[in-house]
Amino acid sequence: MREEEKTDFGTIKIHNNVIASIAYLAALEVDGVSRICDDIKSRIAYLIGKKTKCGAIDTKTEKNENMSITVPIIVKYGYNIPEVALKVQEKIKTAVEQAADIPLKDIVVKIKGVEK
Amino acid sequence: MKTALSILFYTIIFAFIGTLAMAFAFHLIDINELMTQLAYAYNDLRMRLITGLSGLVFILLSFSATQVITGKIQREKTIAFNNPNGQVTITLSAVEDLIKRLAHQLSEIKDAKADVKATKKGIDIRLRVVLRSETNIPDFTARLQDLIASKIQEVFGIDEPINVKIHVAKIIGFEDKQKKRSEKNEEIDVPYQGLKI
Repeated sequence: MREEEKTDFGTIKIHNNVIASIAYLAALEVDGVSRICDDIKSRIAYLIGKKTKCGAIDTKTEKNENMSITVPIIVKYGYNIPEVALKVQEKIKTAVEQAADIPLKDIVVKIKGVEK
Repeated sequence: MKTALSILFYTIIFAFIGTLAMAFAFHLIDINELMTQLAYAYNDLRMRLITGLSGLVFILLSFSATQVITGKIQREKTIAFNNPNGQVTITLSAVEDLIKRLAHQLSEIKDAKADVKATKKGIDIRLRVVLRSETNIPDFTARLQDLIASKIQEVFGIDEPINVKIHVAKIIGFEDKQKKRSEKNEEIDVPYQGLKI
């Protein structure tokens, strides 16, 4: 699924992976986030040569609805998890809306672990 | 949807294997015909290629199906709360990680293993610890229970009641190990030993 925008010169399409990459980088900037979880798909893609990292971030767009993003993260030990999660949601929302001008419906943050 | 497809995939595979086994048992398959077909598949290059590729596809599908099913199971083991921008889910393994790290910060604990379960009544934590021999167990475990409960409520912002069960699995000698270590250090710390001028 791609986000489309028509201009006078043609169509601009933004792939979901781009949104996922923006979310990935935005989430990493939040203090308290240790890393973004990977899955088999993203590891294989990275091994094959896909250089833009987006971890196991999942983006979904349902018909005529805004986009939903699911971000699995590992939080640093000692940080307040609800606060970190809230900051991640806000940071991703701002980053995606600024970079791609795409409003987000939902940002689901999954805390998968705690590490130093 | 994905889970349903995975279950359907496994159902078809098992039904196929079951049918084959039954047909074999009831002599519904002609053994000579079967052998001929197998020999053909074994010798013919195109058939071998098709069989090999089918095998690869089945392995990949199987991995994918397993991932979907286990992912679904893991998804259920979470604590969730809502924020204005969306939902936040915390896996129980994250809670276990936190308890483990908390326990390892205490000098009285040599080793710790946590098992967390989320029930309707609240959160049940079972902590298995290995303590050092000098520890006053009733005092320490009471302190540890309070510490874990308060830390989880503080870090995760959970309002549900937290029930912490501590199981002291082993008590190890603290002094003996320290003595051994200091003896070793004394032996190592001789400067320029064996140096001939």
